[in-house]
Amino acid sequence: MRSDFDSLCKQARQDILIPEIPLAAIRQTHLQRSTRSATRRKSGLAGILAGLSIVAVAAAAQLWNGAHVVVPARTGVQLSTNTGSMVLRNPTGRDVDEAVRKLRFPVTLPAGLPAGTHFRAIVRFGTDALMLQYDLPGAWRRSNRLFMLILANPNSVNTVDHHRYKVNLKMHGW
Amino acid sequence: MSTFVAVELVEAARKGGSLEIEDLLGAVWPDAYRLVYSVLGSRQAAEDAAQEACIVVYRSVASLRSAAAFRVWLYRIVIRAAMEIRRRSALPELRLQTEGTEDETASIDLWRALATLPEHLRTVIVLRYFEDLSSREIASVLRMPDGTVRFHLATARQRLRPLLNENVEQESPAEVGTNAL
Repeated sequence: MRSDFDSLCKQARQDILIPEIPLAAIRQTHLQRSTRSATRRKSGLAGILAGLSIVAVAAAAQLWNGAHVVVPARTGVQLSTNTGSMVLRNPTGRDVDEAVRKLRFPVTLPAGLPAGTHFRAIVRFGTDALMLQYDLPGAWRRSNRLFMLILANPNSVNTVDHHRYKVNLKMHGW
Repeated sequence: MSTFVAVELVEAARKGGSLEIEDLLGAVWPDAYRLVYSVLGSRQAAEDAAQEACIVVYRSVASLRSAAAFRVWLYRIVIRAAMEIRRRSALPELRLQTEGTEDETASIDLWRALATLPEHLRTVIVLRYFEDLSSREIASVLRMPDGTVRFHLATARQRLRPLLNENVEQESPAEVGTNAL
């Protein structure tokens, strides 16, 4: 059974006069904010990408003396030296093939990535390591947009018997 | 809350378009307004905060994981909007406008008694007795431990008792918890 206090509270709540819902104002504010946040998101993303590219190129130039930087009109920023190469921002399949050809170990590129995945950057370190960065599509964009893998020559990085290890990667929701 | 919106309405808004969302907003508006008014005691602030909460619901209801979680989710949004409005407009602790309430002494006494409570105690009392939330649900809305909610409830009831002619019931030890005074 309800106490006096409980009933009193329910009655007081019921007695509060409710004004009409300002639906037009709610709708309009929602639309304004949606437009504003979409614009802000786009410009923020462009800024981050530009910033990352510049930092990466600068870092690479410091690591590799005599680096040759190419900024083509359509594809990504390319950097190459006699010891390595780097393609930032949307490398093509040809860039990947070329990097793989220069490695001195058998490379198996990852398979089974979500449809719509594309390369964001590739970096070849000499002839023994390759870093692949993917841009994942759809829901992955919200939290795990960029996915990075480093493929390395087992003979260079592993002193124990590397044939004993088999790696499977399972990501939630994939 | 006994008159709370149907799960089907929330489900339709989650999966549907702006028409379904606006139907849902129409249904939750009275609850959102009452909640803010009970906590802040100002009609203007209640309208502003309820409107702000509705805008958040409009934007985010599609990403709500489950329709069953809607009630707690909504209350959390409404309370946050209320606190934000109070902070921005620098409202005094409570500015009750009792002209809209039933003109009965008991009701006016209740609002006056609530006005004597600090905001955090008034909020738990409103959520518990006005909105019928359990202490666990209140804990989820306010993002605080269940024990803290029960402690606040016990403290608030103790403070209200002399002001309301001891009308405030003493809940069972299980409800009050080990933190009871």
